[in-house]
Amino acid sequence: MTIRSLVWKEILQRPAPTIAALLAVALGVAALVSVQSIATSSEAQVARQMNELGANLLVLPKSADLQDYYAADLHNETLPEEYVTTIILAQAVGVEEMAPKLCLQTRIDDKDVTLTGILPRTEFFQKSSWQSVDLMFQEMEETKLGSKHENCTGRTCQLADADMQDLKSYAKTRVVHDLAPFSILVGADAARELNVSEEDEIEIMGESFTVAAVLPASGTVDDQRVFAHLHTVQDLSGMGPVVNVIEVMGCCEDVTDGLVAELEELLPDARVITISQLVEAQVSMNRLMSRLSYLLFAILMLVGGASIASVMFANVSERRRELGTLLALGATPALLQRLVLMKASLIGVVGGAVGLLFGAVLAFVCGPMVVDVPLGLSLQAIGWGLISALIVAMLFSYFPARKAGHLDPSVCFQDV
Amino acid sequence: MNTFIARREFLVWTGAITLLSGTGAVGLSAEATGADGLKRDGESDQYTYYVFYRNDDSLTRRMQSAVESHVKDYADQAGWQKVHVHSKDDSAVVEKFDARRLPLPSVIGVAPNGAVTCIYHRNVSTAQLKRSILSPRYADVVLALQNGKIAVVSLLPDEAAEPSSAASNFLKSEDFADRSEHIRVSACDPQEKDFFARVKVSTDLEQPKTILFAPPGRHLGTFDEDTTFDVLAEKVHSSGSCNCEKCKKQSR
Repeated sequence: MTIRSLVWKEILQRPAPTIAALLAVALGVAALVSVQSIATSSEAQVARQMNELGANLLVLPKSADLQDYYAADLHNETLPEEYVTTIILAQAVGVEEMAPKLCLQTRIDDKDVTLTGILPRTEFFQKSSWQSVDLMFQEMEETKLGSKHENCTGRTCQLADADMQDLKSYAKTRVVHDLAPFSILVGADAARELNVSEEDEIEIMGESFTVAAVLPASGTVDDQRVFAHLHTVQDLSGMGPVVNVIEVMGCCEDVTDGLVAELEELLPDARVITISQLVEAQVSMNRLMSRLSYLLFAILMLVGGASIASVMFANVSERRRELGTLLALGATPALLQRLVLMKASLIGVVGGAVGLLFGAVLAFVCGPMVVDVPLGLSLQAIGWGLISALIVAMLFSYFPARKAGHLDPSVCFQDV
Repeated sequence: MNTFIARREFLVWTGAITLLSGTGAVGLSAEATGADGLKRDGESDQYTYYVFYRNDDSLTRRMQSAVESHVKDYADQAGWQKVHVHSKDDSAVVEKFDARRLPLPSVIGVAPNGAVTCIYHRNVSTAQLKRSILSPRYADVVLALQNGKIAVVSLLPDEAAEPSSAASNFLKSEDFADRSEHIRVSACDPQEKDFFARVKVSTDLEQPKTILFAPPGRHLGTFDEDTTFDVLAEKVHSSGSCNCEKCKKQSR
């Protein structure tokens, strides 16, 4: 008979108190793992957005609500398209590309589709070139904008190379060089649902369009959209020369602050948002979630620890005869303490493992509903959870173990 | 008596008709359509200024006043038209300049060769408008840029002079032949004095100089006669202006 077999037999004989103590530990670990995993995944998404879009700005109607960068045009508020020309004519430093958009909900082949109007670069080139005389003798402004801006070439409205003229590059660059009035670009998911491929003809709102390209998947809402020339969409909608959003791509992050100020002055009736402002709310929420998860974990661990202590004290009291018998047969007080602590450590380890599993399931099932991001487990949270569960279980079992070790066999047998 | 009355009536009617005709003529000239302006661009050597507006408010009137004053100073070479962006009669010129999508009021100046030499919105000064009157070769440079070409300007001591070998090689090269346009400007041409002043080159040229401009209007450099093709090419590629493979390697 080994200590391990003694512990295991005791657990099998009295499962209820063991399970109760185990659940308390599992809950605490589950809360920590799930919340931390969601917060970590959300932070990773924010970092990815900042990396891809860090120098970008959005010009929106003042009253528009904004939830997500890629869905910035999915609201019913509009701006006059003349704001686009205003930005072009201002020749602001750092504007690399612009992407005004107008969004229209429609049906194609009985399927709901988001038809998005986009403006080709050729339209910008023409208006920008009308300022040739003013531009010709301006030297490149010397700006004290930091080392990142030194290598920026200010490519707005330049001639396009073969890469830029490839319509499929829109999925990556979000800008198209040229697009005929009745040609469309179809997102990957939309093409699958509508069962269309390149050069197919489809009817949208009574007009016939040719599929100029099916875009590669980008993992954003753009995969579900159909893109057409902005002016065509304006004509179809009857809304006139308006847009829902103007996406301004900066050449580097060093220009962002100056560009924001300049655009706010140029367009006082519009709202200018940077990527960092957009993700600020998400970053704050992540921080809050992270802190709350540790607080919740601490509280649940205390509750779990108290529960373990209570269960262990009751267990030692209940097993007085048994423990007295062991003492009478020659077991040492240290052995009895080890019996109690081993049981506690088993509760800690198994409780931690169950909590980890439960927390992972919770994160993968509920996480996307909460923050709509691809989930990954937080290894740090897993490590903390398992170690803490073990330590708490053993810590709160210390006094019950001491009590078991100080039992008097003669007193134990008096209960017989 | 009858004769007197008849004569008086005749004079009154003649005067009235004359007055009405005069008023009509003035009115016609002030209200001439944007379409007339479009036709005029191709047929004469006049600059045309289009004032596009939506509401005839104080901003529009102030812009109109500045343009009128400018055109008066250049009466022999400039004219102007006021164009309402929703006017059916002027729809052609509104469509040509996509005026419904411009911040209004706006003034666009067009050279006789079709190059747009200025665009200003909300307000404009006569000094700005004065800058939009270009010499003929200058207007050719602007037109080349607006057609998306790299403008290779050869400043020559006289009409018979040849451009620099670097410029010639640049214009014949595989990389740039299709992307560039050559404009010859002679120092002896009195009409081009202003252009020489703007590019800060003296008309006392002994050797040709070459100036490169990239679309939509970037000055890439002014080069002496002894410059090489490689220097010109490197300048264009490092600016990323032609977006060829070599430009991509240089850009970030």
